[in-house]
Amino acid sequence: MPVEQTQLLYRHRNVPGINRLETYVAHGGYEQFRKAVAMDPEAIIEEVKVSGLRGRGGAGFPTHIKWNAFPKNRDVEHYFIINADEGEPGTAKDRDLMNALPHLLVEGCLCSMVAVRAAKCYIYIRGEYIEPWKSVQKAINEAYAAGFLGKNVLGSGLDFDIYTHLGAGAYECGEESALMSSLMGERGMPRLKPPAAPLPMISGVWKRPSVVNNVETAATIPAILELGGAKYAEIGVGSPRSRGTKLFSVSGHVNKPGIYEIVLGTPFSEVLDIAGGVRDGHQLKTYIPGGSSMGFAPPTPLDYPFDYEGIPQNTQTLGLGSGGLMIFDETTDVFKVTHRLVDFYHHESCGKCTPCREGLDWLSKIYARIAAGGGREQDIDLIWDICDSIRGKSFCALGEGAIWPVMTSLRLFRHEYLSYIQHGRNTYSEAGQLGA
Amino acid sequence: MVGTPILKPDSWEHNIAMSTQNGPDRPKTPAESADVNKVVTDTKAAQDAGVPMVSLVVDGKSVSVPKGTLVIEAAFSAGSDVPYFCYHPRLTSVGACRMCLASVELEMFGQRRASIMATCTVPAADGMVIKTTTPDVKKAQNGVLELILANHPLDCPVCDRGGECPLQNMTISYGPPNTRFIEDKRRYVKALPISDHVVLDRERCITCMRCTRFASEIAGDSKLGLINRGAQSEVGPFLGGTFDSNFSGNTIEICPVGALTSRQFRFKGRPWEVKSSDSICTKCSNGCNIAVGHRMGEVVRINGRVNEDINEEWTCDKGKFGNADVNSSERLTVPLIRDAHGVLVETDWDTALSAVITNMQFVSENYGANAIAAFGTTTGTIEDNVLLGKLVHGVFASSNLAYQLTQAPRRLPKATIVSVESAKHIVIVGMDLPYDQPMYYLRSVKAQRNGATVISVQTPSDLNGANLTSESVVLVPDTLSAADYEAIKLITLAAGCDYSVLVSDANAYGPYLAGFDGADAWVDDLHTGLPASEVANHVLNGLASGAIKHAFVLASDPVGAYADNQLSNRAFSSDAFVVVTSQFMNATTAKASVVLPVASFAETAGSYLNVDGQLQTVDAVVPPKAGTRPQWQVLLELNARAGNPLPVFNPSDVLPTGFLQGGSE
Repeated sequence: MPVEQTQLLYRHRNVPGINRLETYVAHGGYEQFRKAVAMDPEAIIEEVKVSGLRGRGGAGFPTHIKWNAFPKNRDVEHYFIINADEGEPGTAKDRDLMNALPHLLVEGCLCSMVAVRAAKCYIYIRGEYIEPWKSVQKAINEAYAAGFLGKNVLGSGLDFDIYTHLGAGAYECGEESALMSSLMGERGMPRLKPPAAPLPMISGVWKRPSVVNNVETAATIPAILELGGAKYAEIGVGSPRSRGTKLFSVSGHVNKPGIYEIVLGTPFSEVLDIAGGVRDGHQLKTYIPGGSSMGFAPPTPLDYPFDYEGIPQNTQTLGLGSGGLMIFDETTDVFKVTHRLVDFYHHESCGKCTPCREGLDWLSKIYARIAAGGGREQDIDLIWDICDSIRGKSFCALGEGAIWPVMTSLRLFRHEYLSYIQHGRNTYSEAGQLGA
Repeated sequence: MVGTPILKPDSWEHNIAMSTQNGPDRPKTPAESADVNKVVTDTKAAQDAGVPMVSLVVDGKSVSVPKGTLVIEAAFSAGSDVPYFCYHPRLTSVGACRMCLASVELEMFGQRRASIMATCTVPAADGMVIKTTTPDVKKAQNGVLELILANHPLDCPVCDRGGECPLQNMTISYGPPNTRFIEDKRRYVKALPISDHVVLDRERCITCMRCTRFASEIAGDSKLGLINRGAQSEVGPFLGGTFDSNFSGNTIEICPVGALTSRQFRFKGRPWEVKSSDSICTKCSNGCNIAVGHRMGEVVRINGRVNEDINEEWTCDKGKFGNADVNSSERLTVPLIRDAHGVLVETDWDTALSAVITNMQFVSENYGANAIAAFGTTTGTIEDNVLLGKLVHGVFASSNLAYQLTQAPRRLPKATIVSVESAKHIVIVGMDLPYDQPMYYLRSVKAQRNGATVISVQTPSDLNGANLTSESVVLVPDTLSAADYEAIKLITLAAGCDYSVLVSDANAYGPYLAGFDGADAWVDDLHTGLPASEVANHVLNGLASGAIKHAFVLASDPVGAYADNQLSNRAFSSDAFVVVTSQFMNATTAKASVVLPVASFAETAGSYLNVDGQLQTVDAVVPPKAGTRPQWQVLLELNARAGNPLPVFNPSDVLPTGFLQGGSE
């Protein structure tokens, strides 16, 4: 019996005109904000705590812990920041949310701002996301006109302002501290984290209390307020620590690629079925469960609960990540895919720390040489050692994320590398072989 | 049979086996030793000051360090060695190079775990266990160094840094003996001049961001930044600009590779051929401690030397590069004497000195003692002034000992260099602080980073709009008019704050301390302040009127520098016999009867009192340029020829004893 797929975020996804304020309001929009603005901020945080909501950007950090770290007063200005710098290869859920349901994001921001006592919200949108930016900005304008934003909103005595900020095309700026630097007009480079630096909730943007949350995280808040935290926590069929629903961007060799709202804990095989299964006539060779940084997983087992805890250890992947599910069938040249990913991370490395800057530079050169037929046997050791020099040694997660597809592909598909080294081509993918 | 295991070449095990001389006794550059020294001293000072401490174990040794100390610093205090590039004790931690990896065991989420961390990004905490020498750590360090070297051109044989390069040292101690990369390295135009003083080699750069952090945090001018990203990151001035900071030279010194080199020192000698001697910069009044690098008797470069009360370890560009005038071909090397036709011609020392004494005796006998006058030096040493006083006042009994060329009230500033650092409101009047008072400026940047307000105003009347409070620190140059000082006095008095006159010359108080200007009780007066000197005016008027027939000008330029230019011009256009000691021709030497070529600051011993009253004594670093003599030697001989033989020179013998008791506040 397949898991019943409760739709919270996507409930009205396909209602025509849901991106307009009146349609959104007609479908119950901004009701949760009306409720939230009258609530005690602590009560909202409590609901979020009970709901078990974890950050949907990739790290899965419990949202209420961040919010609770804020000063419990409005002595200085607090900032609520939305990370809409969605750059992880294979991930497009935030784009869809912002395009189709911009008011859900605005309402989510408003509810969250009440909770963290912020009067200002910045939505940091990826530079290439022109359409989503227009969509969100239009929704913000409508919300101002309707009195959901501005001074003394709904007679609450509170002011709410939301600003959009377009990035300049740096993957690194999706990293929380780099995002804040970029927002302040500084170079988009990650900063020291606690304990070497204060928590952003104490001293973040412009040294004021700030929090960075993912688009989807904020968009989930209205649903939590509507259902109540306890009810929300009942959704989910896997781990007790993975509650609610999550958007997955399914791409690659499936029949129906797209963005799906999935109840956490749904068996992975069912998720695959929801996306129409591996394209007809082909077999699953490997997949990346949550955005390219999570690495390649073997095709078995598939019946595990797909949530933060459920991904089997033996896949050696990092986990659920941002929910960018990439499916590869037997025609895939994994070496080539990895090469492409290495080039991506090489291009996006900010250059701050040695392992990431130099390691990816040389990985990229070595991959290009192997792809061109100049591979040497010792290159595999070299690649592994470079990964080893990056793993746990780079400043932020970019380096770590970059080498995970490399290391997992080497573990699972070493023979494809050897094929390139020995024959200058991938005899395995050419023959449609799943493994060695 | 047990033997040495055969290690696969190019494996990291092999690399580690090849890295020798690591640990605390590894070869270190002077800068690296200074870093460690500072950390150890600071830790000790904090311990003595009773700062809250944390205890941890480094390589089996327990250490207590002040709360907030980084793990890398704790390791230094414990006597362990951690390799590093981007860490610098005077810059904020950035964690960029990832070289300082060590195993850090700490309590996290309820359980103790050891993991490899960049120790410059982790504050020491109670109960931590740090290991810097485990195979895992060695492997990690080796791996990072392999990556740092991957794009480094390894052109050490033609690199100015070669021989005192942290990257070289770390590679020998911690790095791989060979490279495993066969692709081309990054290529850039080499030796790109980015300012008049600094040359950038981007190929050598390891992007540690020390220079960019220096520019934004220490110099406060952000004249250097990172351009592009990832492997294309490069250091440079903004968009086609130049690195026109007055502190650019420091980046050369803190660069851990040869990416930033000095245009002046470039290819002038290998570091191991350059001897380094301690000295004091005399380009301005700050008295920065410097290390003069000299090779075969020639000054080739100036580096900063640590003095926490003055320059920490920095120099300004005027001090770092301006002192090259020691080697100038414009230096006077032969005594000059005015001949019967009124032309300055070369002569020998004996003739020149005889002429001076003969004239002094002649004037003294025929016109009386006060027909002789002396101008003390504010750039030479205190001893020079004392010896001139002994000659003109002691032997010839003249009371015309003048020196002050400005109208500023004489008083040690209440705001010392160090105190500016903790000021809350700093107002600068009519000065270009980075150039006029570089070390005051660097402390004001520090204060600003700590939240102080720093305001610069043009004229004294602008002070009215500067929101002065009793807390304000008002910094005033010594070049204003008497009326300006009066105005500043009134405004600051009304606001209840003090103001500090910052003198410009290296030894501005020197002649005064040596008893010039007829002041005997100088120590007390120095603190309470005196009106501007009248003696200089008196002497100049005497010269102009013909009452004064002989003037001995000790390394100063009254014609060019006196506030009342017309008066000084008239004074020196009279037919008085004028003796000038100087390194270069100037407006006063042009009017002199005898010009005596003297040694530069690097070639003479002596004492200086800097702008905020710190006495510093130095030795000569290099022999005097051929033909020149140190001023003290010239004056000793003149004293002897005038019948006042003095014992062989020793700075402390002639230094006014009262001064050492008085000192600064």
